[in-house]
Amino acid sequence: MPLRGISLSRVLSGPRDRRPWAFTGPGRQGRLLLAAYHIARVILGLTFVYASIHKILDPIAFAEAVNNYRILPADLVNLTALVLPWIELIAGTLLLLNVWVPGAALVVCGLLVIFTGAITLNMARGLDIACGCFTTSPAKGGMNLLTLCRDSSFLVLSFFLLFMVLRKPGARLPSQKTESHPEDHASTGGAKR
Amino acid sequence: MNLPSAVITVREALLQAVLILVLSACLGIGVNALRSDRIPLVQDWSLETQMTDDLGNRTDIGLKEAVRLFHEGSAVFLDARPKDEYERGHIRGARSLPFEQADAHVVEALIDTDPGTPIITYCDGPYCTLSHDLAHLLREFGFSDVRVLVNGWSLWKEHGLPVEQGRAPDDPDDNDT
Repeated sequence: MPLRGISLSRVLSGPRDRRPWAFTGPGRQGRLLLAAYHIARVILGLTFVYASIHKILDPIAFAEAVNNYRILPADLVNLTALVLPWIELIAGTLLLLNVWVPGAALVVCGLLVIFTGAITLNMARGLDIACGCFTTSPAKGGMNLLTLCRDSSFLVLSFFLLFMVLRKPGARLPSQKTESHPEDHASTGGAKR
Repeated sequence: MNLPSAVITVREALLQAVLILVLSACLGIGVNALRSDRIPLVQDWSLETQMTDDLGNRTDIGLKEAVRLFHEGSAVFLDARPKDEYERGHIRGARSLPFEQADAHVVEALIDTDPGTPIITYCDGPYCTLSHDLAHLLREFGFSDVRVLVNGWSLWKEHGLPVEQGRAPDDPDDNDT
């Protein structure tokens, strides 16, 4: 598929020559970075899969939670309540499976920006509503600063993940020594093919 | 065509993200269509519809009517907000039944109340849902005449109607003071 340098098969298979182990660089720091990548990926994956379950099981309650935010026009409330949990489930599953991580990380990051914005907005408005984040029960899960801290932490994790997968292959963090490794050149060369 | 690899990665990410969104939309709408308890794709979320029960009766009450019942003393007023907000000020004579713990306290709060007695729930703010949730719960408990005074606390104060502060006289937590 000629989308200026990207073929559909490439997108489906994932960035083979850009997988983290090709660009976390050599040595201890590279291994730590790789471990951090996997930890961030698994934490976000589990969180999103877990958060999606209640919402998929009880769309009526989740639609009400979405409506209570008073952000979306009424016509979009139900559509959002139906589709959003599946986005969470699929993006979370992809992160757990370590496939399509660039796309999944982008989606997760986007969602978290929206969630954090919506929570902040409604806390500023002083609206006393349920978060609807991990449970659709209105009796549990009011929103407070802790909710915001939790979301912000996830947001930082997702930015880190996005940063990792969108880095140029072979690129090093500024703090990493720029010693030359033959396999790095190989992976950089491969990407330009 | 030789694009910088970082550009390709960003494009791949965008394309994957779009595919994730499309797949989710198909699954979300498709699975909903297959469910027996499906929800409509577009629903009337206006306040008016929300304040009508399955039989078409209004579930809210106007201030005038609420004031009339208040002066008659024929209705029970229930404050659905958290206890600390109740203690800072509430409609005079209202009982505290915070929605978050309502399940466990309905019986003790309404033990002397006949199921047909008019009950008026309120919280604060036009979009506060606690009073609606509480009213819904009480109907499930068998109370037949439960209505919501929307934006009750602000409305009551604005109109200079009788209020009071502190705990309810029969609050068991009151013994230590």
